[in-house]
Amino acid sequence: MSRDVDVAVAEPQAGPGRPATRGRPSRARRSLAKTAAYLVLVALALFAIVPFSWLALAAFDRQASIFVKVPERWTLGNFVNLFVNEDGLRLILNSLIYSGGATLVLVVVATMAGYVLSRYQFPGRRTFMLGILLLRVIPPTAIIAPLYVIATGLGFLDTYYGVTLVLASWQLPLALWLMKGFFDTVPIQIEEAAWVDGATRLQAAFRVVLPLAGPGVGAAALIAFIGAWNEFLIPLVLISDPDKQPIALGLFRAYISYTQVDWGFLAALSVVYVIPAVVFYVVARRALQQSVAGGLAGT
Amino acid sequence: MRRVRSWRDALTLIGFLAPALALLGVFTVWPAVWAVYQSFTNKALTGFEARAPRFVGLQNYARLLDDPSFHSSMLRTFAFVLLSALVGQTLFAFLIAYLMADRPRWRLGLTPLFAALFLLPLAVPEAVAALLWASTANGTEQGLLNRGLGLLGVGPVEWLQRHAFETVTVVNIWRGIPFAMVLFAAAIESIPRTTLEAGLIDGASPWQQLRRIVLPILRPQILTFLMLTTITSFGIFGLVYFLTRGGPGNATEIIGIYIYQRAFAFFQIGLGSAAGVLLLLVLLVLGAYYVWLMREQA
Amino acid sequence: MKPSSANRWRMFAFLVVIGLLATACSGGDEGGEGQDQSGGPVELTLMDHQKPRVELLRELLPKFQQEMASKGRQITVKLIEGPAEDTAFKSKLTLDYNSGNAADVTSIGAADASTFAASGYLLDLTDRLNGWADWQRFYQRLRDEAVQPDGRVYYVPREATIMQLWYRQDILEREGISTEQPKSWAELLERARQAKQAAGAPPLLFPAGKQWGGGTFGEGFIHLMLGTGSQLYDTQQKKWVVRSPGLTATLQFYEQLTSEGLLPVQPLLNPEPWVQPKYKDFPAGKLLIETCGTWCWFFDYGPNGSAPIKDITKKVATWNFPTQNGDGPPFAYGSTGWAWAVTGKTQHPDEAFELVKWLASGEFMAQNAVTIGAASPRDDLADVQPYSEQPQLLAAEKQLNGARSFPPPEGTDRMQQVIADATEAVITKKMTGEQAAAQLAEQAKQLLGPDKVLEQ
Repeated sequence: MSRDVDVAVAEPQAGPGRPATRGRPSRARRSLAKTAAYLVLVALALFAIVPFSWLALAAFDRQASIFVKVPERWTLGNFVNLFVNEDGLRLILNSLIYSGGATLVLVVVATMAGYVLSRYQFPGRRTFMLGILLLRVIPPTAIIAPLYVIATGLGFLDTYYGVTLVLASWQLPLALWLMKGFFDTVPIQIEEAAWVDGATRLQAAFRVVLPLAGPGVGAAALIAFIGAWNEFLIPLVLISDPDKQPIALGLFRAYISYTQVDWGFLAALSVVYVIPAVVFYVVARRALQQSVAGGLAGT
Repeated sequence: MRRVRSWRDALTLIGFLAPALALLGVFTVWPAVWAVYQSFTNKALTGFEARAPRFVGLQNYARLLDDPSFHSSMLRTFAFVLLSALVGQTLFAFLIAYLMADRPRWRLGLTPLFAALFLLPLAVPEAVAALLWASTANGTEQGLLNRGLGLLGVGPVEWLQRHAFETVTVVNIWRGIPFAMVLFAAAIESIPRTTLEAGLIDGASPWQQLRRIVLPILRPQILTFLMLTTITSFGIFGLVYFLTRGGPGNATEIIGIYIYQRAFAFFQIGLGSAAGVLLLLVLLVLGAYYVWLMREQA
Repeated sequence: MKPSSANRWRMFAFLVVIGLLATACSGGDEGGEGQDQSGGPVELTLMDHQKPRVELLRELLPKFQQEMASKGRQITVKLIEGPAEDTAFKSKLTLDYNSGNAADVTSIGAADASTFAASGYLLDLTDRLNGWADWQRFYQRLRDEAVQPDGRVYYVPREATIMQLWYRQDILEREGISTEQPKSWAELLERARQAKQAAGAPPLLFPAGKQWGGGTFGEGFIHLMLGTGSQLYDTQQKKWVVRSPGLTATLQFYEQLTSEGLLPVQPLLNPEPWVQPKYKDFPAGKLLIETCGTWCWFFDYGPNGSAPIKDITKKVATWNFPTQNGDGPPFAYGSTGWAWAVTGKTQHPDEAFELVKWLASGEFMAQNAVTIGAASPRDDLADVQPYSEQPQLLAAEKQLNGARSFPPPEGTDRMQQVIADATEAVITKKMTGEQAAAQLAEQAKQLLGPDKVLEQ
């Protein structure tokens, strides 16, 4: 599978019975094609956004149900309720703790490792990088049962730090690759200049390289934050104390509970839950596209 | 790049790598290895086996291979991956990316608006995606989809009861389109304009242009995406679990839910681990291919 | 070459964010459990689930603490609310017990007691109970039931659940259908056929299939099985009877209900399968006969229940379950539903038992019975308010002596699973009752182990 496609391969070979396709398509045909294209795009755009209608309406309706309906009275009451009501605030804080903690751990760890992986040549480095990549294909579901048993054994079940570390670990392979890639783009000459000025290797790395790799750190941090923020299975299995639930679990438990579901509350909570991801995609679309084009990221 | 020559270098290297290795080792590698070990035991969280798990050899695997619900869960997973990821996401996303791409003699307006709309589902965590669809695909007359159908005089359809598998497949398509679209759009953008123009001058029809020029150039990106989405889709859990918890019956019990149920609803950790190991094997084969593709960049 | 100021700024902003996150983390980690020393004040944890129960506890627990304080014991109780859904609650309990994180005292389903006890998760209460005079006030059959295969007792009943057939008296009478107690399955079927004519919909609900979880077994299957002459568990040999004429007949009864369109099959395949038949169709008079327990008076159909039925006492009445051929008297199912247990790993067994005793007596038990709609498990509660003001519950309590029940032995969870599978195969018409019975025997042998099953 070569990237260099020989253009000659693409020599036009119109079928004998279709002379009309030779040459420019007529103007009429093209505008017909464009109309069709718009229709397809509109249909698919509807598919993309229609499910959001419930969220957009219910979040502002104190009498919300699971059904889509325009509120009789628009209100921010649900959002106020989120922060007044202890449960909502706690869920949000918990999610922040898990995702923030995981991001912090990950950034430190991945920056350190990414730096030396970029700067040092050692036997087995390539194998190591590829090995890490292989870890990325392990789906959480495949190892969740042993992870639970290990968590029980090591005593990090139902703890903030346990879930945080697990989340960080699972985001790490991608972050390592990203960080190494960013350090690769910082020329070694900059560091060498600092050494000449009398800085030690570490000092040079901290003072000179790290600031330049800042955007890379930011990108890795954002991806890790969102990955951890969205996670559902790990807290589902590792967290049983309702006081330590993240938003995803809170939404789930409320959704399946027997007692009357406060749909407005759920919708408002969902809106809050979606915000970081939206910010993320606005901020990071560019970086995302680059890394995506390299085939690195996964959802 | 510098070779590790001195002890000092070696220590720095090890010191800097150690935290990452520890984190990966404890929380990813160890559970994977432990899964293999546990799959040979009858460890359970309740009953006799909770107190004294025994080594049972290949018994768990034999049970899985004997278990019709495991077979159907595997088949269902393959169908889910094939229909939602390989066919649905890829086709729709490519269609969108290609139609919106700026090509010689083809330019649509409003593409930034469209792009923003198409990206929306990407911003949504699994739990919220499930909630949105629980509302949209609600099976009563008041569900949004059914109200739409009602206008056509059809329905109501009990989407999550009678067509649960189809519904979760569509939901996964919905969620996966944006990512594929971004990837394809970037790839199409990177095709040199001159290549496309050359094709037009040679008189290729739009279809021929797509088939003979664009698709061959995009082959690597398409393959990469197919593989990534396959890997991701095999691991899907939350989206489906939230919506249906594997039901009705086991209509939507994909492999992730099967494993979860064995381990945490029936508390048979050994059996759940064995199913996890089988899933892991499938994915490692795919992963090996992935790594092979990425070997240049390491 | 020096880093640009833009980059420095970016770096700074980033560090600020990290700093904030770090503070958030350390702030969050401090909420760990308090340690207590022996002899000093004791903190007990207590786990229960579902709002009404939890709120009652929250309201009344201070009284327990005062009572203890007046005896010179400083005990505080920390209340933990588990997931509302029963299966999720059981899942949490199991995971907590397994990891050693379980609350000191927990509410457990009596049906799960044997499995938990056999797993070594529960504290043996036998000696403590024998030293507690009140234990003798609990109904004999409930005390007998509580004795596990090893001869020990691990829980104290918090309520007695009486299950019967509930029917829409108002509609049956209006349609001229007899409301007399049906004596056999055939009579019940005949009533259902007439009811179907009247309702124009499947009128009779016995929970079945996988979605209902343990309820398929406990609220459906077992009421039929107990009416056959066959045993499901051989208490002498301590083995499950996974193939018997009665078991096959029970599955065939489901088959007949399905083939005659008497059972609302589709709702049973939904997640939360009870919602449609119990909360919508029964109040609307489309479903006319169902299995229900004392809790239904409040939780389901009471004024604050999930689906209130106005003037329910005039509209709904109960039958006992008929036996298969009418050769035995119809019976109610009477058993301990929820119970109190102490985790085996508790640091404070004596204080935990004090709490259990308080939970299983007097005011709290009376309030609890009314809150969750249960009969009293002990015979000295009939004049304690507010239980004394509930004629339906008092009437149900009277059924306890002639009731039948199935004290769930170890392995019940797995039997529930195969029975859910088998009934689902029958109601979806994938198998006949006979075929499903064969599959059930095979699966049960696999899940329980060949040395734990019998065929008759």
